[in-house]
Amino acid sequence: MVSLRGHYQNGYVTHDLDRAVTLVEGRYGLTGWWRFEAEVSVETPACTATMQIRIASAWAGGLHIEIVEPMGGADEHYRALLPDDPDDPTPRLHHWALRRDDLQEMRAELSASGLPLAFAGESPAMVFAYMDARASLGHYLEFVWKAPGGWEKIGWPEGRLLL
Amino acid sequence: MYFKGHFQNAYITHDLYGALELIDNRFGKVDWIVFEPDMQLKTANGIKESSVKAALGWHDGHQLEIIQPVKGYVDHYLPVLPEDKTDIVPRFHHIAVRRDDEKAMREEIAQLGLPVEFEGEVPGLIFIYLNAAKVLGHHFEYIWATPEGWEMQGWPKDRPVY
Repeated sequence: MVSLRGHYQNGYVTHDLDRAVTLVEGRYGLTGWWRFEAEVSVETPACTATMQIRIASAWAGGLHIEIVEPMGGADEHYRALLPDDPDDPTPRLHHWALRRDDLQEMRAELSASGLPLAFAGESPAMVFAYMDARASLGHYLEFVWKAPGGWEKIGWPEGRLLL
Repeated sequence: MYFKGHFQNAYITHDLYGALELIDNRFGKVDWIVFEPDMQLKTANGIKESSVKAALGWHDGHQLEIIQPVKGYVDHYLPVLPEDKTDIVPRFHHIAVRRDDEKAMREEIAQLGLPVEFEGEVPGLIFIYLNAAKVLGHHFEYIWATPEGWEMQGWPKDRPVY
């Protein structure tokens, strides 16, 4: 059975990353955003595909906040929770991310989870899988494994336990 | 640091017990703390009666709250509920942050400057909902409680406040 342990991130989607970051930064004073723009290769249940995304993320205390702007390609699972109005930049909650430290266990957990795979990707440094939990929580869940040192690279707060 | 002390993601449903069963069946059974309070909420338009069914469940260090609006002043919950009343899947509504100093919490809320939807309390615990829909797309709840109040919520022993 899949577990909800290891929550560390609330992930949002937006139609406009720059305006969304400005909104959150302006009101909450959240700074230190790490930005990323890329074409990402992913595995879906149907095929290997690519998507273009822009991402900004920042630590807010022990909570990691990620905002994703889907830019094209196989990005329909990000777009699924966007507001209808394309001029609305307000972030919408899209997923939680759950940290896993044992890749083999994570793969086994996801295989047995009963949750539909939305898409997944991997490199030597990181494996991620978005599972569709809309039927039970109304949104997606992302499971993330990183190679040693990977969590530190994204600024995992010192002393932040994995709970 | 307004997000400091985040510990809860909260959801709204048309059917509390159906939603709990849905979550337990998928993610494993937890010991939900279930309560069905009739509350008096302080709003900008005076005191309002509000009744809900609610449950708190911990998955290690992270708490889920599931709320079913029942009657009275529940307006703030309704926009996220699906139109189909037979759809019991919980819908995300707010995050909650923990505070241990009530005065500092109130100063922080004033500084943050988001619209206050309402304030409520039970002995040893005060909760204040802010409307952050135009910033985060959802509500934002501040909770102050005494040590006993946190214990009442099932706060895991030795779980730090990040």
